[in-house]
Amino acid sequence: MSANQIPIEAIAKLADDVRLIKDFAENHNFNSGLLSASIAPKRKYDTPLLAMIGCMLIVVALVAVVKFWNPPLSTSANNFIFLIGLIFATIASMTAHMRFQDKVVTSIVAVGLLMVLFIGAGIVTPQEALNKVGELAK
Amino acid sequence: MKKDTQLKKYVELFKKRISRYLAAGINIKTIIYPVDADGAVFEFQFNHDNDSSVTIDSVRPTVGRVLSDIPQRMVGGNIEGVKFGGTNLYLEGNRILVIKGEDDPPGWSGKAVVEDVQRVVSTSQGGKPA
Repeated sequence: MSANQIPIEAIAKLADDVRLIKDFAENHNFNSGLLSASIAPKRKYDTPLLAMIGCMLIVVALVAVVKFWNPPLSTSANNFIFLIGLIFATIASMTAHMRFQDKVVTSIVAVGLLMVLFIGAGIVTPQEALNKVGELAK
Repeated sequence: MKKDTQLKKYVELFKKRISRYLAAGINIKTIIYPVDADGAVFEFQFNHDNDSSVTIDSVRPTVGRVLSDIPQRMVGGNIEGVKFGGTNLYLEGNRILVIKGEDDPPGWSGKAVVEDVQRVVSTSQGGKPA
């Protein structure tokens, strides 16, 4: 046997050692009665999505109140409305996360609503908000 | 994977997602097997005993070691030498083993849980006799 030849046993051992099991599924007499593959009827309403949209609309409505209420509201009233807006922005972000289970979507909803609130409250100008979003996107 | 929070989060999402497919009166007992290396093993036991407990077993060095310690007929021989990738599923009797081979975040995301549950449900419908 030349020096280059590998014994069969060594090859078998090597093959045994490099086994890779990836994304494999095996059913070994599983009791299929435990699970029903027929999809349960979907709930009529997608509650988290509706709650998210509702909270977003409330934030926009609150910003509109601060901006356009005539006669203009006092500073303390504006601050209070801003706080309520923050609470609804938080709830909207939470429901977005419940619905989509995705950090990126949650971040977009959170940052978007915060920008709307900040611009509405006059804390930042739309130009500054754009720059900030640009920085975050980088 | 041995981060308790991540392991428990996966179990919580898995049970939530699979609940809509569960037959009436069935509960799921969960045993988590954390692993020093990449991956982890989850054992979901379906029962009628109202047992929905979640326990974390001792940390083992590799996924292979876990599989050599618990009853299963998916991999035999020198399990320690086997590498696991992605998500492997083993369904037997009233239990399901979810074998995660890696620690990469996409494999543990909410989206991955949805895919895992869908694979479990579709696999559960066509079995081979023991």
